[in-house]
Amino acid sequence: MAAKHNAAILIIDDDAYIREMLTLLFESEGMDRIETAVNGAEGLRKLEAFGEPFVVFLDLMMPISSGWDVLDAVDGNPDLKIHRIAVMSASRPDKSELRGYPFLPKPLDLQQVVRFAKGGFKPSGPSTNGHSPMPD
Amino acid sequence: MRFLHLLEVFIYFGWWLFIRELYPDRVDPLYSRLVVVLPPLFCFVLSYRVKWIRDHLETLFYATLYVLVTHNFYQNHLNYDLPSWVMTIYITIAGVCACFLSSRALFFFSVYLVGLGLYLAHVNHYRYDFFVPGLITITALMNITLYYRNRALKQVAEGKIRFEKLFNATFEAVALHENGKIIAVNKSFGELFGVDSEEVIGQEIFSFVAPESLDVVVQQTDEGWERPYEIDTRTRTGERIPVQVSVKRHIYEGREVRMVAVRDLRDRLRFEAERRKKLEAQAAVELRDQFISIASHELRTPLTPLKLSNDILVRLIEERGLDGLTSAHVLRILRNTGTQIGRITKLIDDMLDVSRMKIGHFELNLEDFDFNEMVRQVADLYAYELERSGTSLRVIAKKQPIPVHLDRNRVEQVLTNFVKNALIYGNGKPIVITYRCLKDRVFFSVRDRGIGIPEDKIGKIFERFERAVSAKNYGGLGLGLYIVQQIVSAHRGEVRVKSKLGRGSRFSAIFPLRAKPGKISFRSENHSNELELE
Repeated sequence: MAAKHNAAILIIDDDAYIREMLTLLFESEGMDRIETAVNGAEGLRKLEAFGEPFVVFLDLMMPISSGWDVLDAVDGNPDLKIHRIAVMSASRPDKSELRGYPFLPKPLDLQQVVRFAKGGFKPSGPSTNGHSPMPD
Repeated sequence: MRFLHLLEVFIYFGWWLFIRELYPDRVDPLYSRLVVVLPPLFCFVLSYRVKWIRDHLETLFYATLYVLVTHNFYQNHLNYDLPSWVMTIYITIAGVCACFLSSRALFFFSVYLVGLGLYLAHVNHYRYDFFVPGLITITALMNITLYYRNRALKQVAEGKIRFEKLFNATFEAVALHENGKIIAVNKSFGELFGVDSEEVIGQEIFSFVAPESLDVVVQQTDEGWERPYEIDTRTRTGERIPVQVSVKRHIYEGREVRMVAVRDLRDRLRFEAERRKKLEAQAAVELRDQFISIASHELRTPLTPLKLSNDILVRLIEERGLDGLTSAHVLRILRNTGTQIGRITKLIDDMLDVSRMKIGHFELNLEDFDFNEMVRQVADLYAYELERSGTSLRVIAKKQPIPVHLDRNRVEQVLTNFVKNALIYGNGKPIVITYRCLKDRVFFSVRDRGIGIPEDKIGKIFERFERAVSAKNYGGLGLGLYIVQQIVSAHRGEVRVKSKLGRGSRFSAIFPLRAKPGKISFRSENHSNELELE
């Protein structure tokens, strides 16, 4: 469990307040390696640059490059080190659109977010993707 | 036409060979015959080669015909006998038939024949039998003419009956007029304009045209085009009927008249209007659905950080108690809460503004204030947000105060909207605010170096719910610039935008230094993007 507690976290969201509040939340939960990105492109850059796998919180609607772009890039590049990705959005995408990634609806449920960060979250959708190795 | 030449040769030469067989003792020089049939023969052969001959086949035919006939009469004059005389008659009749190609040719040919006959009778010591072929020609001519004339008359009579039937059977209203005076109208015309089809004869056709359409009719008549055009007509009771008119020249009882076909457009226009209304209603419903979807998403966007900060605060207090929290922590969370409440308030304000502007309940609260100070205040307001997104904001202006008499809140709103757009679409690149006083006006602009606006969208961004980028990537209700436009025009100012895709945009507004109070009338929107917000 200790390793999971210490997983690095990447928050990709264009809303500065959400980034700030999530950072604050994870800090108070005792996690110390937290990265943020304002759009998909920056998020991907950070994913590629850092040596350790991330737990990613990914917003969908973002300027320049959206969450969909990140998902496309992740699906096309199995070398990226990722623990798991959670998609966050105020809209409600179809399950097929999500391609099996777990979905956290906005406004976010704090319990779900913390549990996902710590690795104990059961996703709402069926998990078929290699990057989200959680039990169904 | 070229075969007529060949026929000419065969008749003339063939007949001569036939006579020679019948009367071998006759003296008739072969060479002279051969010579006169050579020109038509050449015409026939050369017509395949020489363009000039092809172009003048008819004239050449008449010329050779005259030569042949003259030669024949001359031979008859030289050795007067029965076969030669019979031949002359036949040749003459054949010539007449050939000349039926045109009435003018026929006329000249018969005159020529009579003249030739008279001349030869004179030189041949008053032998008037030379005149006989001419007489036969004239008789034949009269018979043939009468035959064709009768046939033509019969056709005309039949055609007239057919025309009358068609005239009255057609749905279109049709009138015949000569120089504007009505000669005949059909039943449909009478029904359309509520007149009796007999009474109307002799009246002016233009009296049915609505006065404001007269120019169009005169122009169309002058140009003589036969293509249909649309005008308004007027019935005798004063009712206006939109119609499509097409005019054709027509021969009626031997006179050249104009046939005017009038098609009633009322049904078509009504149908089109209904269709347009239906489409507009559909578009409005679609737009409303789209707006509701965008608006609910937009309202939920600030809710996420709001709920997040609230939940975090609750969680922290539950876990650690109030004493376990630093005031800096709490302040950070509560500031965020405040900001989100502000965002929601702004969204709702925007929606209320638009709805107010739409129904015209939008008035300016004019007050005296310093424009300079107002801009600085707005810039300060955004300092926090700018810093957070790593964007620099520069204000270029003179320091001295600019006293204005405007609606301060509204002008602030315009500036805020510009700055916010620059923040959203500015890609984090520096933003510059410029403002200055120009005589009796104050001008300000906000420039960014961001994504810019595609050229085809620039004209539309000031409309409600319009945005140059997809809502999927950028939030917002699509109301900001619409509100800006309304505020600026309420002040009788002007708003401008200059933008290049990928290079950034510059939004500027010009306000009068002293706006005039009073009720504002907004430009009427006649496009289909209508949507009631209430």
